[in-house]
Amino acid sequence: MLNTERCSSIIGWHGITVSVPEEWSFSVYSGDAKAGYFRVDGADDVALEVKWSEEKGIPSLRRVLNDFQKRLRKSSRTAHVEMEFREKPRPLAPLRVHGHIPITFGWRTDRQGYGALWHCKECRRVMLVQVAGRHQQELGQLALRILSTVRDHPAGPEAIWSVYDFTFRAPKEMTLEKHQLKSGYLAFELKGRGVGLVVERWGLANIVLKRDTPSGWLSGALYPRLKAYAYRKEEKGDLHGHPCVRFSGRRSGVKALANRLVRTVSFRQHRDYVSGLGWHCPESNRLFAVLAVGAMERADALCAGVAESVACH
Amino acid sequence: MSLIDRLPSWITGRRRATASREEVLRALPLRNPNVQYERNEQGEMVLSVPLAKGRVIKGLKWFLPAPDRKQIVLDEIGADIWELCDGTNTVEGIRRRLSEKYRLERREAEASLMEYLRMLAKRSLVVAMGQSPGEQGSAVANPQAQRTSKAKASVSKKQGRRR
Repeated sequence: MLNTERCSSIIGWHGITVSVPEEWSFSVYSGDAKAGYFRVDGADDVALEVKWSEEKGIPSLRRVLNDFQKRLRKSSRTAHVEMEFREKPRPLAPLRVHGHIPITFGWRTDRQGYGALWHCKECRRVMLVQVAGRHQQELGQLALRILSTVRDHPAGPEAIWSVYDFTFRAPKEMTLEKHQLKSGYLAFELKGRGVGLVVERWGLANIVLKRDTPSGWLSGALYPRLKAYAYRKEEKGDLHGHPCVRFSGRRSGVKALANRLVRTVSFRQHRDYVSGLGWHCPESNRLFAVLAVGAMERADALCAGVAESVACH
Repeated sequence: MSLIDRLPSWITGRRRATASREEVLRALPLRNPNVQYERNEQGEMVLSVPLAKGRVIKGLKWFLPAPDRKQIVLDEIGADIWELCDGTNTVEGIRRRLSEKYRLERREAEASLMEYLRMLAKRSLVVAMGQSPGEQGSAVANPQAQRTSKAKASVSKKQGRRR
């Protein structure tokens, strides 16, 4: 039953975090840090939907809510079902976001939903969050539990990225450039000022490591990212209790050399250093890798910090 | 079935009825009984599939030697899925077994399994039998259920969510 489900799995996406029941999975997403959407599907056709957009100045939340209501009314008219929309539904009465009372709403068609709308002055995001599902008595309580865990921006200097049981922390100013969410392979490429970060996870390690060692396999898997660098590999140290492989080096080639010369003459830091860590976690049957590119000390610190934050088992 | 239902969807504008995700997860995949199979030393599954022969091929066979069966090799995970497609395990059950054995996240396992079953169904290697919520494996004995093999492909396509 819904009431017994624990809110234990964290979804972290573009600085937004929310705790959802363990069995729920990130399923649909679009947009970027400025404006976007994601949906987390649960059992029994229940889903959490989060929509955000960065607004300059003070936005009219009433207008946003009216637009949402109009869209809902239009879709219910198309489906030939009656729609009932109300503000301040009773189950969401205790809901608070950043200590303030958000605009709460509930609707009922052939399905039902409970949601909240607010504007965060700090991150300037207008957040529209709702839990929708089939008609059931516990949906209001479930919505309250989930909505009260939504955070629209990171509390500290680091943002949590967490989907499909893959969780790590990265500096909050870093934005997602590229990503791949494939079955058995997840990759995030983040970019900040003068620094780049790649965090990867491979599944089915027992299959891929049948004919290779973790170190050998990681060298091959990371080669496309490392081939532009004159790097060296060391097998030393532990990470999360697993032996890890370290990669470090500088960009090679004539262009990189010329670039380094220009930066030396102009007394600027070299930002062509790569620092990487890779390890195999037999408990979770997965392989992990973190690569950071930037100035030497910063890349080393970033790589080590992010690798330490990866929850591998 | 009315006449209009028999017309193709591009004329009627109607969408073909597809199963919901829950229905697909409750389905019981069953391997084609005409396919012979055995595991090799590497843990792979070698399937021996009878080749369908039309009149032309049958005629040509008088002049040219043609094999009666073709071989398909499934990898270790594919072999596990194949063994579990015995008509008693639901898609959800198979998904759970894969998640446990290979430590795959629920969604990862589900997406891969759906795609794999779709591929097997496309090659007529498995059929997916429907199961009503209260029913437990009764469809196994129902030969009518085996006609749903083509429906499996369209059902799985609907599951292809953005990941």
